[in-house]
Order: sequence, then C-alpha cells, then structure tokens
Amino acid sequence: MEPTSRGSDCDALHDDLAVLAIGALTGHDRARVLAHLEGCPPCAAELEELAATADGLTALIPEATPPEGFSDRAMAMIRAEHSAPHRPFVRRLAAVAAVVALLALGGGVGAIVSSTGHDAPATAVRSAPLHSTSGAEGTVLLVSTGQKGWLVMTLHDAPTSGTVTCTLALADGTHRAIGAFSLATGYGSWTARIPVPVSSVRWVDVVNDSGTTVASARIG
Amino acid sequence: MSVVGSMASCLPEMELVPNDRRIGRRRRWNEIRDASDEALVAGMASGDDRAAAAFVQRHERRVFGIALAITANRSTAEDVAQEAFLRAWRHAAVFDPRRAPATSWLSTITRNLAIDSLRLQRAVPIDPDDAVWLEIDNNEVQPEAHAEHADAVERVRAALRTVPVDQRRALVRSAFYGQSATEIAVAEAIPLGTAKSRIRLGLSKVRDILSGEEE
Repeated sequence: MEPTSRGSDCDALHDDLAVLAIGALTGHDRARVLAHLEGCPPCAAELEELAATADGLTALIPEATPPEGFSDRAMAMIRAEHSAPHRPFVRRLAAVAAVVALLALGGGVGAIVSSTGHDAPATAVRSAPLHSTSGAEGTVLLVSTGQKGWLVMTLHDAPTSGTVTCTLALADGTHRAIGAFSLATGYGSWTARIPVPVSSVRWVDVVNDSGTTVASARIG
Repeated sequence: MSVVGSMASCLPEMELVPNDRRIGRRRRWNEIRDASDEALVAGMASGDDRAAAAFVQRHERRVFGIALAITANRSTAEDVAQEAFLRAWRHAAVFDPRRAPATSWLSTITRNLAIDSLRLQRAVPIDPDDAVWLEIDNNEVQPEAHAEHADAVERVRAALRTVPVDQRRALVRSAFYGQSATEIAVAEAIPLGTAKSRIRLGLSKVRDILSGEEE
C-alpha cells in the first residue's frame, strides 16, 4: 500500500528506492535518493521495509559445514581481540588490516594508501599472500605510519604447532628475525613492530624450531 | 600405604565426583548453549566469550553457507565467515533486536563481507542461474534448522517462486553478488531502466507476499 502523503517526487523515485534497498544503486542516482529520504519519512519507511525483505532473501542460501576446527579458529580471533589493548592506533591498524586482508584474498601483492581521518597521517599498506609447499596459507600486511612500521600476519593450515619465528629478508641481502609467535593447531595471528623501513622488506619468512621454512611471502 | 599411593587412589574418585565448581561451570555452559540468540548477542556485548563460543557454534553452518554460496571458494569463505563472527563480536553492543532478528543481522554482515571480497576480486564466480540456492523448488529440510527458521525459509522460497525468472535473476545478482543496476543492465543486455524495474517489481512482490498483502 502506498502511503497517502507520498508525492510526485516519490513516484519519480519509485524504482530507485527498491534498487537502493537491495544495494544496487550507485552514483548520482544514489545521492539523489538519499537526499530525498532526508525529508520524506514515508519513503524512508518504505525503504526500511524493502531493505528488510532484501535481507530476508539470504535465508534461502543453504547451510554448509565449515572446515574442521573453524569454530576454534574463529574463537581464537575473537579472544585475541578481546585481550588486546584497545589503543587508538591498534584500532586504526585493525581497520586497515581488515580492508587489506580482503584485498589480499584476490591474490598477488597489493598496495594501497589509506587515510584514517583528517588529522591522521596517511597509512601506506602493502599486502602479500603467504605461500608454502606444505599447505600453509595466510596473509602478511606491512603497514607504515610515518616513521613506524608494523607487520600483521595470519597463518592457517600450517603442518606444525608450537613456536615459529618470523624473519625478514631485506633489500641489502641481510636477514632480520623480528620475533616469535605460537601456532595452535596450525593457526596463528600476530602483530609486531618492525625495526626497518617497510620499503626495505623483500620477503617475510616463517621458520619453525628446526629451521625449516613453513611459509613465505614475497613483498617486492 | 605411601602418601603417593594414597593420593593416587583418590584420583579416580575425584574424576567420578566433580566438585561443585565444575558442576556450576557445566550448568552455566548449558544455560548459555540454550540461551536465545538475542541473549547471546547481549552477552557478547558485555565481553562474555562463552556467549560468543555458543553463538559461533550455533550459526557457523549458516554463516559458512552464505559465504560459500557467494564466493564459491572454501578458503575465501572461511576467511569471510571468521571475519563475520569477529564483526558480530565487535558490533554486538549496537545490535538492536527490535529492528531485525540476530540471524538476519549476522546473515547481512556475512553477505556484505562476501560481496566485498567479490568486488575486490572483480568477479562473479558462478553464473547466477547456477546458484544451488536459486533452485527454489528444493524442499529438502536442513537437518539442524530450527522449525521456526525452516518455516520462514519456506515462506521466502514460496514468495520468490511467484516472481518471474528475469526479475528473480536481477534480485540474485544484486542481493547476493552485489552487482549494481548498471552492471546488471550490461550483463543482461537490457536498458538501465529495465534492470531497475525488474529489481523493484521482484522485491515489491516478495515483500507484499511476505507481509500478507498478496496471496
């Protein structure tokens, strides 16, 4: 039923309201509808209904059993975040990491520049997939904010548990071990300061106790 | 009898008769496991990771199913599903149960993350016509689905069944693959206005049927 207070402007936007509700409206059309919604409660209510309907379509997708250990890995991520200190920089880093982790899903090495706020320095991020011959996979992010550099790494399906060491191979041919972290049932997630400029890093290696390389990422 | 022997002989008995603390912990876990979704999300908002564990266990198949259907890649789907639960944990405090059930909220988070990953790959991995969940005549009952949810699914499926296939395809492309109306127009070789109309007609029809305005 059409709300009685809707006018000719509303009728002109009829299709676009549904297209916006399902997330398929872009550019100028999207801006026009959003501007209209500011002053039109009936259209805003209609949009809410249509958006709820669009969300409800997701219920049709069949369930699927995730890989073994999925809930343990999901809880490890949640507990890691729960216990992490919530300093502003860590939160900014996490936001950048989330975006770039998705970028890295597409494979290959990516680089983006992101600004986290009008008063924050630009953050340069390089991402690369971790590869191995053993089945281990993961993502490395190198984040530089001003003079500081950070490394964010997730690794899964590694055929090992216990302590592993992260080593950087630098452009001048030297290697630098920057710390150790633990893998639980082949999964680990880790963040660390890096003591060298991000631009000098060529490879990131993960090495186990016996000196074998578990996984490597080529940065540049 | 040595002290060591005496202690050792006590161990099986200690295993058989758990102390009150262990019983309390188990009872608490049972309570959490049986709690409503909304109660679990409230627990997550207060930082209770046991509520999160119960929430993950309860919904991992649904979340992974959505991620897998959209990305068509098990490794990507696992990353998306993990991120979805992490987002739910982070944003539990702003979840409003009056606006939508927790399952819809979680499904929308998952869908949006999966669509984001597709956009970054600039790919629609499978033909929308081939999506298994588009087979709306499939009446298979999912074994772990709650009866209430199964009923809701059937209502949506029945509603979508009434929508002409060209409109249904436009809904699938936009709702599940995140395609814009412009992208749909190009993919289907139709004018932009037609793509928009298909979305509006299809979505309105589903909405009207679900709200009981049309049978």
